[in-house]
This record gives sequence, structure tokens and C-alpha cells, in this order.
Amino acid sequence: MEHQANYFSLYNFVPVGICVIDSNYEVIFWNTQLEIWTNIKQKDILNNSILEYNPRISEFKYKSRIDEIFQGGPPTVFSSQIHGSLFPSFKKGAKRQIHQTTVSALPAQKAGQYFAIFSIEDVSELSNRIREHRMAKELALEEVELRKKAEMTLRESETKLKELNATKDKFFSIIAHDLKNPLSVLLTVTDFLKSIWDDLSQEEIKEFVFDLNKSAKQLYNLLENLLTWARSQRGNIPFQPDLMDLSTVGQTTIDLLKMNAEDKNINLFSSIPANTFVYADNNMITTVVRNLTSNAVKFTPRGGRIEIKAVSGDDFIEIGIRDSGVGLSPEDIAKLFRLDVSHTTIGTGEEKGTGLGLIMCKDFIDKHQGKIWAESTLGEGSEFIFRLPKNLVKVT
Amino acid sequence: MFNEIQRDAFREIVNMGVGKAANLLNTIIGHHIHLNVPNLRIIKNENLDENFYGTNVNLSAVNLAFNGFINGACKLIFPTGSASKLVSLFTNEESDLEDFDAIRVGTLSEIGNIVLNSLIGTLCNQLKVNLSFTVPTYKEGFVKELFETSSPEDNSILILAGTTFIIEEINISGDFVLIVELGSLQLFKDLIDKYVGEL
Repeated sequence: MEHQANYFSLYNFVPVGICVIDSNYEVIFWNTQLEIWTNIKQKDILNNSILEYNPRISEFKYKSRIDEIFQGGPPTVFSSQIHGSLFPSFKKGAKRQIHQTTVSALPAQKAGQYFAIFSIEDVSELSNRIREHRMAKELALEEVELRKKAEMTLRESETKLKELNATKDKFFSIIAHDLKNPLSVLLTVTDFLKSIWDDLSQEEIKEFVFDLNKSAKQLYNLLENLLTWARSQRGNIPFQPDLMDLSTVGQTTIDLLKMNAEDKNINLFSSIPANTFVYADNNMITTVVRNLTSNAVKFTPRGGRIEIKAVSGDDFIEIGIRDSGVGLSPEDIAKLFRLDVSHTTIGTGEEKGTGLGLIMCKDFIDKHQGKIWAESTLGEGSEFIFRLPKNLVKVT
Repeated sequence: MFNEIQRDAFREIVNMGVGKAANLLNTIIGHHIHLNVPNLRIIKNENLDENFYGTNVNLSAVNLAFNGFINGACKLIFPTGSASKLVSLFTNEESDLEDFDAIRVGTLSEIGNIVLNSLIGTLCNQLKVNLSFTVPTYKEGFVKELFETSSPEDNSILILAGTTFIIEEINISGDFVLIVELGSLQLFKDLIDKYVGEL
């Protein structure tokens, strides 16, 4: 054994740990580098079993691979990441080393027999540096992620601010023009009436009062929409979905707008079957249907037709208000439901709109996770449709 | 080049080796690992299809050369991304670690070493042949770089066996490649014939 140890003494001058064992797992060489790393001297371990020094080696995952070496099998690798170290230090307080170990077959003097030579590379420093590098990289990536999130929040906040600004502009624009103008007209007409009242016939007075009433109604509708929208913007309209009958909404709307429709000889009707229940906010859906139907009345010429209908799909229900009115160009359709673009069309009876009703409708349908859009052909009429998802909608 | 019987015999030996490798890998990582070799192709090195993985795919290979009665080498090859994923599965690291550093290369070398040793060890045992081996090495590069030969006339035979690692329901595909030098080819075929004859 001493002789064999001398035979391998060249390995005392290499910067890697070298250990040679025979097929009985007895140590026949232990180089100087291993003495330093493990604090075990060659003289103390020579002729002793490596399994006593490290019993872990007797586990199947090590021994079955090392046994192959004694048959002259190919070299086997024990990587640092999976195994840490097969040659731990017995030095008190020594820092745990990380090793990459390769075990190869070394022909013994006796033909057909092999020793196993362990070549142990200290990769502790390398592992630590790689770990530090990884940590630094992870930290940098986290920082990038945080910055991305902050940028996204900023962008969202900017969009929100823009929306708020557009809302404010719209609000002021309505107060400045749409509310002021009809009020001015009312003032002018009443001033004029006051000055010529005594000269007017009963019939002329009736005509003036009829016009004044029409203006006041429009003004009232606008004010009502404006206040509802303002409440909605301030978050003062709670979203309270419940089971509601769409056919009732259709009928209520018809009752409310019947007079306006009759004035223009429009056939206004609902084809929604009785007991078409949906799970939605009654107030919001009623406001939406009323607004869309009121618009349809405005833009449908005398003798026209308006239908309120509902279609049930697999995972949605669609409510449509179809008219035989003036219709919309694709360019005008693109301007609908938008705060940042102003779109006003004068109705067939000179009715004036602000586009506010549609913006409010979109707000309410958005709250239902739904969708609202318009389909139209210029001169042939329009259909305003909103879709409510079935996961919110329960049709009985 | 190989008749159907020789192909079947080789496939059988590869399957034995693969089973042994899977068993050992199971013990090491403690997860159920399944290895299979669904297809086998035998081609000349000079005809190495550049579409083996595509010319621009970075590959990682663990290489084990041998000599003796027959001369050649064997390789376990993966696209580097798949190799990194495989290492992550073995080490329970995050799978998006794309850096293939020296430590992770060491781990892949061990995985490759276990598979190659099981396959080549089974081959040696079944064909009753003793070979000498070099220490396993790791190489990364495009397909041409992995199969670089010292001599331009080298026209070794490549036996390509598509290998799939299935770990935790994740499939990672690579290739086991056995390279037999042309001068050793007849001896290799004779050994397989002898193996078949003794069955």
C-alpha cells in the first residue's frame, strides 16, 4: 500500500484533490491538497474504508456508479449543484467547500482490475460568484419590473386625468352652450310674449305656449341627464344588479315616450317577450333604454317605425333599439360614445342633442361588463345595441 | 448500412441502457423520470443533415469519447434552452434561468454522463467489449461545431437516437448520438450480429 501511495505521489503537486480507492473502497492514495481541504492526513486514512470517512458514498446513487468504475466503466461525474461535496472538511470552523468530482477507472497492476481515482475540483469561489451574480441579476430584474409597474401606473393615471379633463370640458361645454341657449330662447320668447301679449289671438298664444313647453321639456331632459351623469361620475350611483323583466322596461319606455312618438306618427313598439328576465341594475338599464329610444324618436321622420327588441345568445343577451330614421355615416358612428369628440345631430323635429346620453349609456353598460355599439346605414335607419354577459345575466 | 435485425438489436440495447439511466436519475432527483427513445436514424457524418436542429440553433452537448476494439464517441445533445430547462427541473430552480453558467454546465454534464454511461455501459456489457474512455466534456455551439472532425475525409457513421426526458409531465427532447469511426464499423456490426446470434 505504501508502495502504491508512492506510485501516485506525482498527484501531490496538482491543485486538485486526488483520492484513489480499490474495489474494496479502501483508500490507497490521498493527496496533499485533500489533506489541506479535509484536515485528514494520508497516513490516517490510508488502508481505511472511504465509507467510514463519508458514509454517504455507500448510498445507491453513489455506490452503483462507482462500482461500474471497478469494471473499467466510463468516468462518472458528481456535479457541485446536485451533490455539494463528497469530501467534507473535518477542520473545526472550516468553510464548507463545494466540489465538482470526476471518478475514472485506473488500471490496477492485476490485469482486468481497476482502481477508482477521484479528481476533486474546488468550485466554491466560482459557485459563490455565480450566486452573487444571479442575485444581482434577480435584483436588477425586480427593479426593472418595479419601474415597469410604476410607469404603467403613471400612464393609467395620465389616461384617467385626461378622461377627467374631458369630462370637465364636456360638463362646462354643456352648461355654457346646451343649457344656456335654450334658457336664452325661453327668456327671449317670454320677454317677447310679455310685450305683445295683448295683441295676440288665443290661437297664437296656444302656439307659443306649446313651443315653450317643448323647449322646457328638452331642457328638463338635458338637465336630468346631466345630473344623472354628474352623480355617476362622482360614484354616487350604486351598481345594484337584481333580477328584472326586460319586457317591463320596454313597456315603461313606450309609455313615457308615447306622446312624442304619436306627435310624429311613429309606430313605437316592443317585441321583447313577457318574462324576459335579466340580472342587471334596473335603474341603469331603464335609463339606457329610455335614452336610446328617445334618440330614435328624435331621428326618425314622421310615419317611421321604432322597435325595442331582445335576442338571447349562448353567453349573452342583446337588447336593440332599431329605427327607420335618418341613419349615421361610418364617420359619425366612430364619434359616438366618446367624451373626447363632440358629435351633435339635429333631430327630424329640430331636436338638439349633446351626445351626453350615449356617453352615460356606455358608462352604465361598462358597469355591467357589457358592450354597446351602433349599426347604421345613412338614410335607412340605425340600430343601437347593448350586450350583457350571461355570467351576470340570468334569463328564465 | 445496418439491416433491420441489427437496427432492432441496437434499439433494444439502447432501451436497456435508457431504463438503467432513468432508474439512477430517479434516485438522484427524487422525482419520477421517464426516458424514451422513439426513433433511430443512421447516417454518415458527411451527410449530417443541417436540419438536425436547424443551423442557427445553439446546442449543448455532453461528449464521451472511447477507443479500443471500436473507436468513436457518444453525445447527448439538447437545444441549449431545453438543456437549461432540464437542469432547472433537476435542481428545482426557476425555469426561466437562461444563463447557462459553469455550475449549471456541471449539472448538465452529470445528467449527460449518467445517460451516456448507462447507454455505453450497457452496450459494452451486451456486446462483451472493453473500451477506454476519456473524461466527459461539455461543448456548446451550432450543429456543425459540435460535429467538427479533425480530418476532412472523416466519414464516421452517426447513429441518432431521439431521446425524450419526461419529468413531472414536462417533456424535454434531446438526442443520443453514437459516432462510430468508419474503420470500426464492420467490427461493430459483427459484434451486433454476434449478440443477435447468442439471443
